[in-house]
Amino acid sequence: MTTTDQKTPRFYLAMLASKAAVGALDLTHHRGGQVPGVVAEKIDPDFLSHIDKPDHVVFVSGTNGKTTTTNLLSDLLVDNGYGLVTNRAGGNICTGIESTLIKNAAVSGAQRESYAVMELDEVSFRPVLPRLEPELLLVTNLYTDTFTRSADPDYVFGIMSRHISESTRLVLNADDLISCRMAPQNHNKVFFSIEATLPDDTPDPQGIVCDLTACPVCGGRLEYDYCHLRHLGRAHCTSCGLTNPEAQYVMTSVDLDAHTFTVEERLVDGHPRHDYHFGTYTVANLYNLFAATVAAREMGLTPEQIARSLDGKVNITAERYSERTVEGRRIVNIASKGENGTATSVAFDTIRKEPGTKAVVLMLSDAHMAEHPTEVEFSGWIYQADYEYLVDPQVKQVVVVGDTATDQVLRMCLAGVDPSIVTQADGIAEAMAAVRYDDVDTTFIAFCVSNVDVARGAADMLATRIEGAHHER
Amino acid sequence: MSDSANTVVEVLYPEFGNQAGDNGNEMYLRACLPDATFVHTSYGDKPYFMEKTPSLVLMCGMTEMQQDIVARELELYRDRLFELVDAGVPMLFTGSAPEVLGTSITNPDGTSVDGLGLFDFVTHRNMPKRYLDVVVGTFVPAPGDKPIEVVGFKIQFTLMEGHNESSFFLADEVGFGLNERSKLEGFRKNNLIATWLIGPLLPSNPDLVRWILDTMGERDAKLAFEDEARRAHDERAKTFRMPGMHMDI
Repeated sequence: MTTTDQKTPRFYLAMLASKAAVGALDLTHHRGGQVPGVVAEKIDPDFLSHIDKPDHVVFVSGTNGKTTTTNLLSDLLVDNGYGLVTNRAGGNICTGIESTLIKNAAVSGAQRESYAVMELDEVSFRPVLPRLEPELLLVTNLYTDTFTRSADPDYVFGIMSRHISESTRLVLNADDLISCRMAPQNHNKVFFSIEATLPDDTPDPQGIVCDLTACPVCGGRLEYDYCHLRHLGRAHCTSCGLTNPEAQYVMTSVDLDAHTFTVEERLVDGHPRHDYHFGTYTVANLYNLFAATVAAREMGLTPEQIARSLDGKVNITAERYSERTVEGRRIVNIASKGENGTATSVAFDTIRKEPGTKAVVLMLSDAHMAEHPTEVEFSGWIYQADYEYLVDPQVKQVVVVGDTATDQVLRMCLAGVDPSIVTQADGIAEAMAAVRYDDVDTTFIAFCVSNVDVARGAADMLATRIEGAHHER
Repeated sequence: MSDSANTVVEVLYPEFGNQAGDNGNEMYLRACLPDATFVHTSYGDKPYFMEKTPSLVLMCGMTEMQQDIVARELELYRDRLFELVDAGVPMLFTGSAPEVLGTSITNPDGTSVDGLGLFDFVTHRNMPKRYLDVVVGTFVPAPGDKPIEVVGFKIQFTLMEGHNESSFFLADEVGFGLNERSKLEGFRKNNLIATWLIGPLLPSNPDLVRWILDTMGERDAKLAFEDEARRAHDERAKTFRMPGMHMDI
């Protein structure tokens, strides 16, 4: 897998130093996802070119769902006997990829496991793909992401598209008219699409801001046939005729009662259909599971192997959505993604569709930034997120905390959230003390993925409070 | 009482200008002017301003491809647009939108796109270099007027070369202006403001909105959620003045 240059003494020194870094991190029980790669690059700036690669490398990329999909695909493969390495605990930029390969390598640089399934940050295509050409690349979708870094989907698309080789097998989402056009130089592609009608389909893109309001090729007007999730669906340009490509893997039906979806494989004679199990239903979950299933098929798993794994222990990881019930009070932690209006809107949409009355705690600001008093978060994404979804008689309280809380309070006023139900808290403890859990069925904690531990601690605080109050009664 | 029933805000190319929270500008204006008419002019449509005189023209930031086709499109309506600028019609160009008002936009590969030429500057696109800054500046509507404090973010691939010494929007206390050597932000001509400040500029700057509303003839229009907007503004003004304050990539 694209190991081109000779190994130099500098490479071996970098390998030794980075291995020492891995050992030190293990000894001190630190995760330090990117540290070994950072150490290696300091010594050998072209380290990624020099280190051996596993025989089969799969990258999963795209704005939303790549972590979930990478984990699902890895779990499917491991459950079926594949030995593989992932960057689940590492970073998804160049140094994170290097760190993953370092951990999988002997000091000689030779890889232990022959398969790697790794999440790859979109902008990191530029430094990574020239040095590590994947056998298979899955792109989940493209939306606006962290604007300071990624600008707009058009810019990210350009970076990704330019760096994809002609030989990599591409798995693309036909329902995303942005990312499905990726890498015109590559003719080794397969597409997946949800053609089934879903309960929450809309005739037009969902949300206050759409990433695909105009044709990405000519700027002309788009007409939508339907949307499953935000702009993911089917559309055509009234000027140049651009439309979604035909898919080879098609989700033809979804059974919400049986928790199964059916995939028709149109690249196989007779177009066989296969049923797969899903856990918690959301359209985002369905897309992630579908994408992982298609990638697993492309890697050689049989439909039966995949179905058996999905019937068993393989499912969406709990880190993104977890719930507990304490003395009859439900607490749900639901992940969003900092500076990402789409991911935040999807989280809000999930919350509003849950039954019962609710209190919502918003911990969407980046905890890392709170630790750096001279670093500020760009607040533009707040105006791209659908705070309007919180305008719901079932939402009885909103508590907001973090660096951008003041901006979010104003945004909620503009969205139509009753200011009298909004509390701005100074710190996590104050936020959790402000929650009126007795007045609602469920307390939702919507958190930025960088705040996983903080959100877990917040849920613990609330649980302790509920238990304490219960014992006093 | 405000007579905003006769007020028309023309939003140029809103399907493009929804980047980075720039849509918050229209959102806030709608909240301040609940009875006003908002006309959305999409790419390919003849602008409302060609036949009538809007109370305000608003255009927000867009991608490079969209910017290129908008520059070509607006060339068709250039004379009327300039006539309205000269007549003092309020206009607000934010994010990357001001770049179409310069003489040209150059690409990293050396190619260029003509601008409308309202202002004397050239835009240089320097992708993938990203220029980030926070800004606190003052806007003086007319000589002797009380300065208006404006806060905002700058996030762009571009730097400009040109002259705004006598036609700037803000004198920056914090942050860079047309380029990293400049402390003069944006352009101003009569009641047109062109600024690279990006994102929800208006919700964070109630005093600037007050001036825009007054200039539109909406002296009786109330600032929407004024207390919350002032808190957001004051917090930004305070934090942006901290030495070393920055955004990270």
